[in-house]
Amino acid sequence: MRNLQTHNEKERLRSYANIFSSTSFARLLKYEDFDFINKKIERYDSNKIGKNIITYSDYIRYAYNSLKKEYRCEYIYKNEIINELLLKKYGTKDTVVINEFKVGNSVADMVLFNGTSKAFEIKTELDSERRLNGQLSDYTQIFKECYIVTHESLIGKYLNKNENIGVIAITKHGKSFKMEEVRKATVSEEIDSDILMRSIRAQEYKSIITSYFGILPNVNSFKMFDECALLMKEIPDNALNSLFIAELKKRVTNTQFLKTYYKELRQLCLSLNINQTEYLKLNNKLSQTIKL
Amino acid sequence: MYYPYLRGKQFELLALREFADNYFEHCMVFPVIEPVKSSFNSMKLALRKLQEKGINYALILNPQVGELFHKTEELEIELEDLLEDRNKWTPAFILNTNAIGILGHIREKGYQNVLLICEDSVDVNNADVEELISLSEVNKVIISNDNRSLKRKLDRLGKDVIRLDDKFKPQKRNADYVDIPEERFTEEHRYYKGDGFYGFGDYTVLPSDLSEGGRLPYAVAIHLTYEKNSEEVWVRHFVSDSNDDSTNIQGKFGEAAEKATRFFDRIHYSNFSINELSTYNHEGQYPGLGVLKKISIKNHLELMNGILTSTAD
Repeated sequence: MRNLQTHNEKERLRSYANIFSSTSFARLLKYEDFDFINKKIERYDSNKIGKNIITYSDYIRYAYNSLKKEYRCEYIYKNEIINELLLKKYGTKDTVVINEFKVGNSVADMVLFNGTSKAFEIKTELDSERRLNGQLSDYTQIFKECYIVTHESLIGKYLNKNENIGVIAITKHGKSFKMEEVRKATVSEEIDSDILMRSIRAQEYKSIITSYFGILPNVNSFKMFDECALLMKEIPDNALNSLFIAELKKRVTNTQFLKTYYKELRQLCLSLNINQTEYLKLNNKLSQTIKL
Repeated sequence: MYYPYLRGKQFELLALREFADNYFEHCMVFPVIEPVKSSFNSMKLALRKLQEKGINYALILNPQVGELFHKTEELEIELEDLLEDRNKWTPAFILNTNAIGILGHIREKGYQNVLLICEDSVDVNNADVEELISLSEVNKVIISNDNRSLKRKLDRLGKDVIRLDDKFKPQKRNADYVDIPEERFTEEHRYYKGDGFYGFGDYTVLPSDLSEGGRLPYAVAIHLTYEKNSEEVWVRHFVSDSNDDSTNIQGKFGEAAEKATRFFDRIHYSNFSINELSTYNHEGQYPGLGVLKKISIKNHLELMNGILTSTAD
């Protein structure tokens, strides 16, 4: 009996984690499709509706807090990086945050550009360590500072990985959770131009080449990549680092507005790059009373 | 007559516009368009062009996929000006288990010369379906080829029956086409009349399922149909060589475009689409993946139109 309960409990939490899916929210915005939330309410929580939980945003807050306490999936980590680190510590002025940034053959969970460049790799209690070494070695090729973000119970394991990699942990303080920097990352000025070429957009590498050399190579667009790759090798590391950071800060993101968004949904808004107008629409939808 | 089934997305519609400009004088193509986007700009431009050039087309008023699913009213209001002159277009409905709704709508609006597209869930023995297909307002019906009982019934009712075949076989990844340089695409243009059909259709060189968005591919693939022999049209897949990651899409396009250009030079076949592609290739210009899709679709329309106009009785 006890086993069955814990089993169901896991399933319930996993269902809550599924709510925070960008595909589902994109559908909600486009088609007003509340099905993905309604199904969860019907299955697990219909008795709670009308008491403390009246609107969809109430329910999302409830689901988020349950996850934060009992089932810290990747979404919780990413969202708490935004809430606890970006908004409280780093600040959003002159900062660009990007969700899922391709680096060589890996994808960094979250990256940030302000005066420096930081990459974050999340390892939750539910993740395996597989691929971690490959990922970290990719990120360190182009980012100045790389961090593993994990749970306080796993700090020991990740501190032993690579001493240049910083470690950040979710820690429990009474009833609340905080993100704490357990070890600062070593700042690296080295940058691999080949991996950089393969991580940014065509217009971005062309802009870097133009900024440094004054002009673009005189070749057609089929050969542009190869020519730019050759030229980029010649740019000294410190200059290339600054150009890379300056270029990526031009990306149009909603980083500046995140603090005005629902604190449970900031990561979703970031990954869908929701602007202020769309946010108002989303807010209107989620303020509706739950109808089953 | 050839009835290509196209979703109303930006580059599909652009292909139709350009095709209309080039071929309005000799046109054996009757596009069937399913609107799927709630922004109507491209749609309005394309429909206006088709009307100006006197090319008849069917517009599906009850889309079953995309942003306009269940939005018949919105669709009719948005396109009101263009739909006013009913001689210039053909109202179309997708029929599945919704016969009553369609019947009501045709009567309410007084639509004539209606085209129906029957999905496989249509029950020919259902009374509402019978009533709908018997309407004198319905004169063309698109069915899939293997629905023989429906075909017989429609023949008896004296309707023009058009077969729609899903010809394009999508692979999971573009790089997978490397192992399939070409494959048979269609021969319906030779046999549809003999098989008792009024017309035939396909989804051009696109999958029949609506795909939304997608990531930057590792490989660039250009799908171009051509007449391999007097009976058959084949599709050739021209794929880039360096496909190990998603970078340098421009260079990959160059690799694939070079292969396509060389192939069509060798078989001495050209049209507006092939010309456009080889111009990009010669000038070393990357037009974007959307334009590439437009070229593939338009090439197929040009090819089928060419075959039909040259063999027309």
